[in-house]
Amino acid sequence: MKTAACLLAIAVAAGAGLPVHDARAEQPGTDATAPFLVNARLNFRVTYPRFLRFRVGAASTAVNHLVFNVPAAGVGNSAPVSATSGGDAGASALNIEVVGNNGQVTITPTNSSGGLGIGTGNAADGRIDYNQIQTTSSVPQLPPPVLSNAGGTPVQPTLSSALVTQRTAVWTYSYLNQTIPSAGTYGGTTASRGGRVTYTATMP
Amino acid sequence: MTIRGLAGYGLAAALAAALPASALTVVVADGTPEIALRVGAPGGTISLVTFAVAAATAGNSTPVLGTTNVAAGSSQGANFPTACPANNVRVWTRARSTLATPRVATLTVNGSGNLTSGGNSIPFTNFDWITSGGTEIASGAFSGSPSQALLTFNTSREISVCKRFRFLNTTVYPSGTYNGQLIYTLQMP
Repeated sequence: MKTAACLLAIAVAAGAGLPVHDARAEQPGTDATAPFLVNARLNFRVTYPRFLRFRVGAASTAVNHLVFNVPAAGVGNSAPVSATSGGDAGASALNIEVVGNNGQVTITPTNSSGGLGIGTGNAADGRIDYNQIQTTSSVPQLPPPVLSNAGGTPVQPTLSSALVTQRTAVWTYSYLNQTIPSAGTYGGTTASRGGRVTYTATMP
Repeated sequence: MTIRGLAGYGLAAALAAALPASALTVVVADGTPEIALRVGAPGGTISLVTFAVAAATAGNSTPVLGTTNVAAGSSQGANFPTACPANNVRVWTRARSTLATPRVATLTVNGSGNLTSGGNSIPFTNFDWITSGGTEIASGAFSGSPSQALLTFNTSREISVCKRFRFLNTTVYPSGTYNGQLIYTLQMP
Protein backbone atom coordinates (compact mmCIF):
# COMPACT_ATOMS: atom_id res chain seq x y z
CA MET A 1 0.00 0.00 0.00
CA LYS A 2 2.85 2.35 0.72
CA THR A 3 4.25 1.88 -2.77
CA ALA A 4 0.87 2.25 -4.43
CA ALA A 5 0.39 5.53 -2.64
CA CYS A 6 3.78 6.56 -3.96
CA LEU A 7 2.64 5.87 -7.51
CA LEU A 8 -0.27 8.17 -7.09
CA ALA A 9 1.94 10.85 -5.60
CA ILE A 10 4.29 10.69 -8.58
CA ALA A 11 1.45 11.11 -11.01
CA VAL A 12 0.13 14.11 -9.22
CA ALA A 13 3.55 15.72 -9.06
CA ALA A 14 4.17 15.19 -12.75
CA GLY A 15 0.94 16.84 -13.62
CA ALA A 16 1.04 19.67 -11.14
CA GLY A 17 -0.17 22.83 -12.75
CA LEU A 18 -1.02 21.07 -15.98
CA PRO A 19 -4.39 20.19 -17.45
CA VAL A 20 -3.93 16.47 -16.97
CA HIS A 21 -6.51 13.97 -18.09
CA ASP A 22 -6.34 10.50 -16.63
CA ALA A 23 -8.24 7.27 -16.98
CA ARG A 24 -10.70 8.10 -14.25
CA ALA A 25 -12.05 10.50 -16.81
CA GLU A 26 -13.31 9.40 -20.18
CA GLN A 27 -10.80 7.48 -22.31
CA PRO A 28 -9.18 8.41 -24.56
CA GLY A 29 -7.93 11.28 -22.46
CA THR A 30 -6.85 14.37 -24.34
CA ASP A 31 -4.81 17.49 -23.69
CA ALA A 32 -4.77 20.50 -25.99
CA THR A 33 -2.66 22.84 -23.88
CA ALA A 34 1.13 22.96 -23.96
CA PRO A 35 3.07 21.38 -22.41
CA PHE A 36 0.85 18.43 -23.21
CA LEU A 37 0.48 15.52 -20.80
CA VAL A 38 -2.08 12.74 -20.48
CA ASN A 39 -2.09 9.85 -18.03
CA ALA A 40 -3.87 6.53 -18.35
CA ARG A 41 -3.97 3.81 -15.74
CA LEU A 42 -4.05 0.05 -15.93
CA ASN A 43 -4.70 -2.26 -13.00
CA PHE A 44 -3.07 -5.65 -12.44
CA ARG A 45 -4.27 -8.38 -10.12
CA VAL A 46 -2.50 -11.62 -9.26
CA THR A 47 -4.37 -14.37 -7.47
CA TYR A 48 -1.72 -16.45 -5.77
CA PRO A 49 -2.70 -19.80 -4.23
CA ARG A 50 -1.62 -21.32 -0.96
CA PHE A 51 0.23 -24.49 -1.80
CA LEU A 52 2.82 -27.06 -0.78
CA ARG A 53 4.77 -29.16 -3.28
CA PHE A 54 7.11 -31.94 -2.24
CA ARG A 55 9.19 -34.29 -4.30
CA VAL A 56 11.41 -37.16 -3.19
CA GLY A 57 13.15 -38.88 -6.08
CA ALA A 58 11.80 -39.16 -9.58
CA ALA A 59 9.26 -36.58 -10.69
CA SER A 60 6.57 -39.17 -11.23
CA THR A 61 4.34 -41.46 -9.23
CA ALA A 62 7.07 -44.12 -9.16
CA VAL A 63 8.70 -44.93 -5.82
CA ASN A 64 12.48 -45.06 -6.04
CA HIS A 65 14.02 -48.33 -4.89
CA LEU A 66 17.60 -48.05 -3.60
CA VAL A 67 19.50 -51.34 -3.69
CA PHE A 68 22.54 -51.88 -1.48
CA ASN A 69 24.69 -54.94 -2.12
CA VAL A 70 27.08 -55.83 0.69
CA PRO A 71 30.07 -57.93 -0.39
CA ALA A 72 30.87 -60.94 1.76
CA ALA A 73 34.39 -59.74 2.35
CA GLY A 74 33.17 -56.49 3.86
CA VAL A 75 30.13 -57.47 5.90
CA GLY A 76 30.06 -55.54 9.14
CA ASN A 77 33.38 -53.76 8.62
CA SER A 78 31.83 -50.29 9.07
CA ALA A 79 32.79 -49.23 5.57
CA PRO A 80 29.67 -47.48 4.24
CA VAL A 81 28.05 -49.07 1.20
CA SER A 82 26.43 -46.98 -1.51
CA ALA A 83 23.41 -48.14 -3.43
CA THR A 84 24.15 -49.70 -6.79
CA SER A 85 20.87 -48.63 -8.35
CA GLY A 86 17.57 -46.92 -7.72
CA GLY A 87 18.36 -43.25 -7.39
CA ASP A 88 17.39 -40.49 -9.79
CA ALA A 89 20.39 -38.32 -8.95
CA GLY A 90 22.95 -41.06 -9.18
CA ALA A 91 22.61 -44.66 -8.07
CA SER A 92 22.50 -43.80 -4.40
CA ALA A 93 20.93 -40.33 -4.40
CA LEU A 94 17.54 -38.71 -4.82
CA ASN A 95 16.41 -35.31 -5.99
CA ILE A 96 14.47 -33.48 -3.32
CA GLU A 97 12.27 -30.43 -3.80
CA VAL A 98 10.02 -28.68 -1.35
CA VAL A 99 8.11 -25.55 -2.27
CA GLY A 100 5.47 -23.93 -0.09
CA ASN A 101 4.22 -20.46 0.76
CA ASN A 102 2.40 -20.42 4.06
CA GLY A 103 5.02 -20.81 6.76
CA GLN A 104 7.53 -23.27 8.14
CA VAL A 105 7.56 -26.64 6.40
CA THR A 106 8.26 -29.78 8.42
CA ILE A 107 9.37 -33.06 6.85
CA THR A 108 8.61 -36.15 8.89
CA PRO A 109 9.75 -39.68 8.02
CA THR A 110 7.85 -42.86 8.77
CA ASN A 111 8.49 -46.40 7.60
CA SER A 112 6.67 -49.63 6.98
CA SER A 113 8.55 -51.67 9.57
CA GLY A 114 6.21 -51.11 12.48
CA GLY A 115 9.15 -49.90 14.53
CA LEU A 116 11.15 -53.10 14.04
CA GLY A 117 13.60 -52.24 11.28
CA ILE A 118 14.10 -53.80 7.88
CA GLY A 119 13.47 -57.54 7.58
CA THR A 120 13.62 -60.33 5.03
CA GLY A 121 10.10 -61.56 5.55
CA ASN A 122 11.39 -64.33 7.78
CA ALA A 123 11.37 -63.37 11.47
CA ALA A 124 14.16 -65.76 12.23
CA ASP A 125 16.53 -63.70 10.08
CA GLY A 126 16.28 -60.73 12.37
CA ARG A 127 16.23 -57.10 11.28
CA ILE A 128 18.52 -54.33 10.13
CA ASP A 129 17.95 -51.18 12.11
CA TYR A 130 17.18 -47.98 10.26
CA ASN A 131 20.04 -46.29 12.07
CA GLN A 132 22.22 -48.19 9.60
CA ILE A 133 20.83 -46.02 6.78
CA GLN A 134 22.58 -42.68 6.65
CA THR A 135 21.36 -39.72 4.61
CA THR A 136 23.34 -36.62 3.71
CA SER A 137 22.19 -33.51 1.89
CA SER A 138 23.87 -31.38 -0.75
CA VAL A 139 22.18 -28.29 0.68
CA PRO A 140 22.35 -27.41 4.38
CA GLN A 141 19.06 -25.50 4.16
CA LEU A 142 17.27 -28.72 3.19
CA PRO A 143 18.63 -31.32 5.61
CA PRO A 144 17.45 -34.94 5.57
CA PRO A 145 15.73 -36.54 8.54
CA VAL A 146 17.85 -39.02 10.52
CA LEU A 147 16.07 -42.33 10.09
CA SER A 148 15.24 -44.71 12.93
CA ASN A 149 13.09 -47.80 13.38
CA ALA A 150 10.40 -45.55 14.83
CA GLY A 151 10.56 -43.32 11.76
CA GLY A 152 13.06 -40.62 12.41
CA THR A 153 13.58 -37.07 13.46
CA PRO A 154 11.53 -34.42 11.62
CA VAL A 155 13.45 -31.64 9.94
CA GLN A 156 12.54 -28.12 8.92
CA PRO A 157 13.95 -26.64 5.71
CA THR A 158 15.14 -23.08 6.08
CA LEU A 159 12.60 -20.54 4.90
CA SER A 160 13.64 -18.77 1.69
CA SER A 161 11.74 -15.63 2.63
CA ALA A 162 8.79 -14.74 4.82
CA LEU A 163 6.32 -17.63 4.66
CA VAL A 164 8.02 -19.07 1.56
CA THR A 165 10.14 -22.20 1.22
CA GLN A 166 11.70 -22.92 -2.15
CA ARG A 167 14.46 -25.49 -1.74
CA THR A 168 16.01 -28.21 -3.82
CA ALA A 169 18.73 -30.63 -2.82
CA VAL A 170 20.16 -34.07 -3.46
CA TRP A 171 19.95 -36.53 -0.60
CA THR A 172 22.55 -39.30 -0.74
CA TYR A 173 21.97 -42.59 1.05
CA SER A 174 24.43 -45.15 2.35
CA TYR A 175 24.28 -48.36 4.36
CA LEU A 176 26.64 -47.91 7.32
CA ASN A 177 27.48 -51.61 7.54
CA GLN A 178 28.25 -51.59 11.27
CA THR A 179 26.50 -54.88 12.11
CA ILE A 180 26.50 -58.45 10.83
CA PRO A 181 22.96 -59.48 9.98
CA SER A 182 21.84 -62.86 8.70
CA ALA A 183 22.29 -63.45 5.02
CA GLY A 184 19.29 -62.45 2.95
CA THR A 185 17.50 -59.72 1.07
CA TYR A 186 16.15 -57.13 3.46
CA GLY A 187 13.34 -54.80 2.55
CA GLY A 188 12.63 -54.31 -1.13
CA THR A 189 9.35 -53.58 -2.82
CA THR A 190 7.36 -55.73 -0.40
CA ALA A 191 6.34 -53.04 2.06
CA SER A 192 5.66 -55.54 4.87
CA ARG A 193 9.38 -56.23 5.06
CA GLY A 194 9.75 -52.75 6.41
CA GLY A 195 11.90 -51.25 3.70
CA ARG A 196 9.67 -48.39 2.62
CA VAL A 197 10.25 -44.91 4.02
CA THR A 198 7.55 -42.30 3.55
CA TYR A 199 8.44 -38.63 3.94
CA THR A 200 5.57 -36.30 4.72
CA ALA A 201 5.83 -32.55 4.35
CA THR A 202 3.44 -30.36 6.31
CA MET A 203 2.88 -26.61 6.42
CA PRO A 204 0.58 -24.47 8.54
CA MET B 1 3.18 -1.92 -40.07
CA THR B 2 3.38 1.71 -41.00
CA ILE B 3 1.53 3.92 -43.44
CA ARG B 4 3.52 6.99 -44.31
CA GLY B 5 2.92 10.18 -46.23
CA LEU B 6 -0.83 10.16 -46.20
CA ALA B 7 -2.08 13.68 -46.24
CA GLY B 8 -5.68 13.20 -45.34
CA TYR B 9 -7.22 11.57 -42.31
CA GLY B 10 -9.97 10.03 -44.38
CA LEU B 11 -7.53 8.42 -46.76
CA ALA B 12 -5.49 7.00 -43.92
CA ALA B 13 -8.56 5.50 -42.38
CA ALA B 14 -9.58 3.88 -45.61
CA LEU B 15 -6.24 2.17 -46.03
CA ALA B 16 -5.96 1.14 -42.42
CA ALA B 17 -9.23 -0.66 -42.59
CA ALA B 18 -7.73 -3.08 -45.07
CA LEU B 19 -4.67 -3.82 -42.95
CA PRO B 20 -4.12 -5.60 -39.66
CA ALA B 21 -5.34 -3.10 -37.13
CA SER B 22 -3.80 -4.54 -34.00
CA ALA B 23 -0.63 -2.47 -34.42
CA LEU B 24 -0.24 0.38 -36.76
CA THR B 25 1.01 3.88 -37.35
CA VAL B 26 -1.32 6.15 -39.21
CA VAL B 27 -0.34 9.62 -40.38
CA VAL B 28 -3.17 12.01 -39.67
CA ALA B 29 -3.88 15.55 -40.73
CA ASP B 30 -1.89 18.30 -39.06
CA GLY B 31 -3.84 20.74 -36.97
CA THR B 32 -4.16 22.43 -33.64
CA PRO B 33 -1.71 20.75 -31.26
CA GLU B 34 -3.26 18.04 -29.14
CA ILE B 35 -2.42 14.65 -27.69
CA ALA B 36 -4.63 11.75 -26.74
CA LEU B 37 -4.07 8.46 -24.94
CA ARG B 38 -6.06 5.34 -24.31
CA VAL B 39 -4.88 2.26 -22.36
CA GLY B 40 -7.45 -0.47 -22.08
CA ALA B 41 -11.17 0.04 -22.33
CA PRO B 42 -12.61 3.31 -23.57
CA GLY B 43 -14.83 5.15 -21.14
CA GLY B 44 -14.38 5.83 -17.47
CA THR B 45 -13.33 2.42 -16.17
CA ILE B 46 -9.72 1.49 -15.52
CA SER B 47 -9.10 -1.87 -17.18
CA LEU B 48 -8.00 -4.80 -15.07
CA VAL B 49 -5.59 -7.53 -16.14
CA THR B 50 -5.76 -10.63 -13.96
CA PHE B 51 -3.26 -13.42 -13.51
CA ALA B 52 -4.32 -16.68 -11.88
CA VAL B 53 -1.32 -18.70 -10.70
CA ALA B 54 -1.82 -22.46 -10.39
CA ALA B 55 -0.53 -24.27 -7.31
CA ALA B 56 1.08 -26.98 -9.43
CA THR B 57 3.21 -24.49 -11.35
CA ALA B 58 3.69 -21.58 -8.96
CA GLY B 59 7.25 -20.31 -9.13
CA ASN B 60 8.38 -22.69 -11.88
CA SER B 61 9.32 -19.88 -14.32
CA THR B 62 6.56 -20.73 -16.76
CA PRO B 63 4.91 -17.37 -17.55
CA VAL B 64 1.27 -16.95 -16.59
CA LEU B 65 -0.77 -15.15 -19.23
CA GLY B 66 -2.95 -12.28 -18.14
CA THR B 67 -6.61 -12.10 -19.00
CA THR B 68 -8.88 -9.14 -19.43
CA ASN B 69 -12.23 -8.31 -20.91
CA VAL B 70 -13.12 -7.62 -24.52
CA ALA B 71 -13.49 -3.90 -23.91
CA ALA B 72 -9.81 -3.54 -23.00
CA GLY B 73 -8.84 -4.43 -26.54
CA SER B 74 -11.78 -3.01 -28.42
CA SER B 75 -11.52 -1.05 -31.65
CA GLN B 76 -10.44 2.57 -31.65
CA GLY B 77 -11.99 5.00 -34.06
CA ALA B 78 -11.95 4.79 -37.81
CA ASN B 79 -8.24 4.03 -38.06
CA PHE B 80 -8.33 0.96 -35.84
CA PRO B 81 -11.64 -0.72 -36.51
CA THR B 82 -10.53 -4.22 -35.61
CA ALA B 83 -10.46 -5.38 -31.99
CA CYS B 84 -7.27 -6.72 -30.47
CA PRO B 85 -6.90 -10.48 -29.99
CA ALA B 86 -8.61 -11.86 -26.89
CA ASN B 87 -7.10 -10.80 -23.56
CA ASN B 88 -4.98 -8.08 -25.15
CA VAL B 89 -4.95 -4.49 -23.97
CA ARG B 90 -5.04 -1.74 -26.55
CA VAL B 91 -2.58 1.11 -26.14
CA TRP B 92 -3.51 3.93 -28.49
CA THR B 93 -1.91 7.34 -28.82
CA ARG B 94 -2.36 10.35 -31.02
CA ALA B 95 -0.16 13.42 -31.28
CA ARG B 96 -1.00 16.25 -33.60
CA SER B 97 0.62 19.55 -34.39
CA THR B 98 0.75 22.12 -37.12
CA LEU B 99 2.82 21.65 -40.24
CA ALA B 100 4.90 24.69 -39.30
CA THR B 101 5.64 23.42 -35.81
CA PRO B 102 6.10 19.68 -35.80
CA ARG B 103 6.59 18.10 -32.38
CA VAL B 104 7.75 14.86 -30.85
CA ALA B 105 5.57 12.92 -28.45
CA THR B 106 6.81 10.35 -25.95
CA LEU B 107 4.99 7.58 -24.17
CA THR B 108 6.34 6.23 -20.89
CA VAL B 109 5.10 3.88 -18.23
CA ASN B 110 5.65 3.97 -14.50
CA GLY B 111 6.29 0.38 -13.40
CA SER B 112 8.28 1.28 -10.30
CA GLY B 113 5.68 0.12 -7.86
CA ASN B 114 4.47 -3.20 -6.58
CA LEU B 115 1.35 -5.25 -6.47
CA THR B 116 0.50 -5.67 -2.82
CA SER B 117 -1.47 -8.10 -0.68
CA GLY B 118 -1.37 -7.10 2.96
CA GLY B 119 2.29 -6.77 3.79
CA ASN B 120 3.46 -8.83 0.81
CA SER B 121 4.37 -7.47 -2.57
CA ILE B 122 5.20 -8.46 -6.14
CA PRO B 123 7.21 -5.92 -8.14
CA PHE B 124 6.11 -4.97 -11.64
CA THR B 125 9.52 -6.16 -12.82
CA ASN B 126 8.00 -9.64 -12.56
CA PHE B 127 5.81 -8.89 -15.58
CA ASP B 128 6.38 -8.48 -19.27
CA TRP B 129 4.26 -8.10 -22.38
CA ILE B 130 4.03 -9.52 -25.84
CA THR B 131 3.06 -7.00 -28.50
CA SER B 132 0.95 -8.45 -31.23
CA GLY B 133 0.85 -7.35 -34.81
CA GLY B 134 3.57 -4.73 -34.89
CA THR B 135 6.69 -3.23 -33.44
CA GLU B 136 5.68 0.32 -32.56
CA ILE B 137 5.95 -0.68 -28.93
CA ALA B 138 8.21 -3.70 -28.92
CA SER B 139 7.61 -6.66 -26.67
CA GLY B 140 9.45 -6.11 -23.43
CA ALA B 141 9.42 -6.21 -19.67
CA PHE B 142 8.85 -3.60 -17.00
CA SER B 143 12.19 -2.23 -15.89
CA GLY B 144 11.06 -0.80 -12.59
CA SER B 145 11.71 2.72 -13.82
CA PRO B 146 9.14 5.40 -12.99
CA SER B 147 9.46 6.63 -16.58
CA GLN B 148 10.27 3.65 -18.79
CA ALA B 149 10.35 4.79 -22.41
CA LEU B 150 7.94 2.92 -24.67
CA LEU B 151 7.51 5.05 -27.75
CA THR B 152 8.69 8.28 -29.37
CA PHE B 153 7.05 9.57 -32.52
CA ASN B 154 6.65 12.65 -34.63
CA THR B 155 3.44 14.52 -35.24
CA SER B 156 0.93 14.09 -36.64
CA ARG B 157 0.20 10.42 -36.09
CA GLU B 158 -1.94 7.83 -34.43
CA ILE B 159 -0.30 4.69 -33.14
CA SER B 160 -1.97 1.68 -31.64
CA VAL B 161 -0.67 -1.65 -30.39
CA CYS B 162 -2.20 -4.64 -28.64
CA LYS B 163 -0.36 -6.04 -25.65
CA ARG B 164 -0.72 -9.37 -23.85
CA PHE B 165 0.74 -9.16 -20.37
CA ARG B 166 2.46 -12.03 -18.60
CA PHE B 167 3.46 -12.76 -15.00
CA LEU B 168 6.95 -14.23 -15.22
CA ASN B 169 6.41 -16.62 -12.29
CA THR B 170 10.07 -16.95 -11.39
CA THR B 171 9.65 -16.61 -7.65
CA VAL B 172 7.28 -18.07 -5.07
CA TYR B 173 5.18 -15.56 -3.15
CA PRO B 174 2.92 -15.90 -0.13
CA SER B 175 -0.68 -16.62 -1.01
CA GLY B 176 -3.01 -13.72 -1.51
CA THR B 177 -4.71 -11.41 -3.95
CA TYR B 178 -2.20 -8.84 -5.12
CA ASN B 179 -3.30 -5.56 -6.67
CA GLY B 180 -1.25 -2.86 -8.36
CA GLN B 181 -1.52 -0.06 -10.89
CA LEU B 182 0.54 1.09 -13.84
CA ILE B 183 0.47 4.67 -15.08
CA TYR B 184 1.10 5.40 -18.74
CA THR B 185 2.02 8.96 -19.61
CA LEU B 186 1.97 10.61 -23.02
CA GLN B 187 3.79 13.91 -23.24
CA MET B 188 4.54 16.48 -25.92
CA PRO B 189 6.28 19.84 -25.52
